[in-house]
Amino acid sequence: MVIVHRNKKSGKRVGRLLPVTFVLCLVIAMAVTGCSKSGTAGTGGNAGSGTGTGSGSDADAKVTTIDFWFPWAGDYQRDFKKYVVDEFEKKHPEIKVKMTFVETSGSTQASDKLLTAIAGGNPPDVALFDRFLIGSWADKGSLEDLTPYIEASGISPNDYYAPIWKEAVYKDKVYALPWATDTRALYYNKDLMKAAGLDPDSPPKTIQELDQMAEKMFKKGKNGKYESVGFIPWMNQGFLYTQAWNWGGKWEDANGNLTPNDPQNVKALDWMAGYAKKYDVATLTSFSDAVGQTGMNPFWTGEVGFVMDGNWILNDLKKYDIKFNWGVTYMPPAEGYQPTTWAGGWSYIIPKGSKKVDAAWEFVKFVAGKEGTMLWAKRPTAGNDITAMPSVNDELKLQDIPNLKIFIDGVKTGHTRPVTPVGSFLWNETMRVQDLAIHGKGTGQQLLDEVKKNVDNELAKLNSK
Amino acid sequence: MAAIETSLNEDTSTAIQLRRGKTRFERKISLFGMIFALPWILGLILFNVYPLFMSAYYSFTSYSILEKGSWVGLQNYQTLFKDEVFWISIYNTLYFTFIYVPLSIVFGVSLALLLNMKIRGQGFYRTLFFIPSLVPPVATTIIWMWLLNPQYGLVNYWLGELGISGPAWIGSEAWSKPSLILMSLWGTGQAVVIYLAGLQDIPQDYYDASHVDGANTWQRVRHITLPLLTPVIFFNLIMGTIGALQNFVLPFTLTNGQGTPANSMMFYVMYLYTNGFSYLKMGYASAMAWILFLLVVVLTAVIFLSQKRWVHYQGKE
Repeated sequence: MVIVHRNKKSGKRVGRLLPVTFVLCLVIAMAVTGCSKSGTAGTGGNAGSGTGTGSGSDADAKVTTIDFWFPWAGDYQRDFKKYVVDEFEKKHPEIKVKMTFVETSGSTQASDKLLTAIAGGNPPDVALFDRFLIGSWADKGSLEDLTPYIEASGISPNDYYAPIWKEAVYKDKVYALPWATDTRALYYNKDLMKAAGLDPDSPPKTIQELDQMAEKMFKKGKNGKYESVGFIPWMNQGFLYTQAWNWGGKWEDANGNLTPNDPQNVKALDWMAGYAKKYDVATLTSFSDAVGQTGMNPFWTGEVGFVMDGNWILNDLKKYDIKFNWGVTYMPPAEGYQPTTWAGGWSYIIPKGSKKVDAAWEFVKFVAGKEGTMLWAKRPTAGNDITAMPSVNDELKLQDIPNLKIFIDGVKTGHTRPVTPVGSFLWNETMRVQDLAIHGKGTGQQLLDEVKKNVDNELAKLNSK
Repeated sequence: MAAIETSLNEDTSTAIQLRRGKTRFERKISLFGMIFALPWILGLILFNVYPLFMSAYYSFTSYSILEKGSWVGLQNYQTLFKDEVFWISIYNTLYFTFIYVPLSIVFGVSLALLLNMKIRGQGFYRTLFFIPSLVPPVATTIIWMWLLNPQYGLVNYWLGELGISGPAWIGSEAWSKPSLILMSLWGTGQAVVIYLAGLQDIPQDYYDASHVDGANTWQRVRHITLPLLTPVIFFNLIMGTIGALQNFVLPFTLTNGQGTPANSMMFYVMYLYTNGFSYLKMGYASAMAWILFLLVVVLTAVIFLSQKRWVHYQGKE
């Protein structure tokens, strides 16, 4: 207002300044956006749609560059480029893959950056994505529906393990191709078992046996702190999810309703809280914090009798110089139930808003299809990874790797977390009440009823929109 | 209205303005100033003012970042007041603020007084205490996790030498917040620099005069240094309070965003973040942000109103 008012009065000279202002602004704006563009490209931010499909320098060769975000730096970045991406680019000279490390945030393995990039309409073209979040994100319309592509390319759900494929499907549409996968089992320390007067070759078959055996291994030092512990139900992969399934509980019924307060889930939580009470949670936490902060897996310190953990832990063997005998077996279920496990893992998605869906699909199809999965599984550093494709695992005879069979068997029949728009909310809620229960803040029944109420509220809110 | 008036009196007002207003050259200069400030102003509007208003708007919607969401009126606020974790996070945040801020002032001023003493190696000590402020908070957290490790940590080792069995620190409900306060005090270096500047500002004459009057060291601190330092303390009190209410990085890193054990480390901004980015309830998080804003305004206002009672400005009485 003021500027215009003055211009009007002050005649030509200042009047001429306005266009100058304009040009100056434009120059500044161009400089700023120009800078930011090259800047983000350098750090691997949100280039992508900014460069447009096949525009610019790529146009001559008709090469499409797709932006691929992944959450692990280091080995994955190096090996995946070398053994998979390079092969893909050789096969598809018309597509180039730009790999960008974008870390996950929080305990659900989601990424704030991916989230805001999708919301901002400028997402990468492909992302490596925690499978159990597909339901939540697909419900919000943020993932590209891959169903037509999958049908056209002849990929069959049977190419993947059934429980795992289930995680990629939301409301009858497929939003991802599954990839690396993991399951859980019980590791046991034979030396500690022997010292406690147990037979080191017969690990516990039921939770009741586990409790009895573990009890004999808790040893306190002079300072009142534990020198060794038998078992802590929430250590490492011992989440409420894990234990609920071991107790024969369920998280959803046959109609797809969520059932966090299933009676067996309640028993599981009370059982976890029982350990906290019996062995004193503060002293237990002291112990696990103490070991945890050394960066070492508590089990490999030789001070833990039993622990529930994933197959990737087998890879640690190379890292640590292990001085004791150990074994691994199925997680013991509650009496009267069958041993079980649960699978988590990763998948490749195309975020909604990608402007190069066709090229992105070519990439997803390759890396998560048989060829790419095989290339990845055959890499020299593969260790004890499990792929989502039974045919690949069979062909490479992964079950013959010592100790890996238990984990591979687990995938076939294992549980996966319910596919629901409130998947990550439910996960966080279970973590919350697990923490409250072991600190004596409410009974299993109270806490899980509350979870049920909260989850239902969230669902009602989502359905009412 | 004003516009009509201006246009009516266009000629007269121009005349007046030209006579007692700026010259053409001056106006040109100010216009250039505007041009140069423009990117900053645009940035302010685009990245501060606009998001501010949008967050106010979103706090009345079910915005989820990925979807626009619909208008829900006061529902987010009503839900908040029934949300147990919300109240826990407020309690934790106020607990931290009311203990940390006064301690940081006592600690900061004492340290500044010590560092202001004319001794050998003054520069070295000053650097020493400022270094923690240069270390990224995440690194500080990790160092402290080691020091406070219940079994292998140095702190409990020393306590053990004294015959005291140290607590589980971060792992225990009762000790988690005191541990956090301890860690935060470690980073007072920044405030100390400001206190030091304040100390330099106190005229030497006062001390000389007090010397003549036979005042001892404590009397000088009590009656000269502290009163004259109050404007600086006032500044640090306000900045410290605002900072403490937004406490995030340390507890988030320590507990991996979970606020464990038993929610004793769930701070307000952490819960806000969890709602926004983990649960995709950005509308709800926006409502929380506005409540925090009001809380900050109220506390700052209280401190401002209190300044008449204790803040002394030189040359003003």
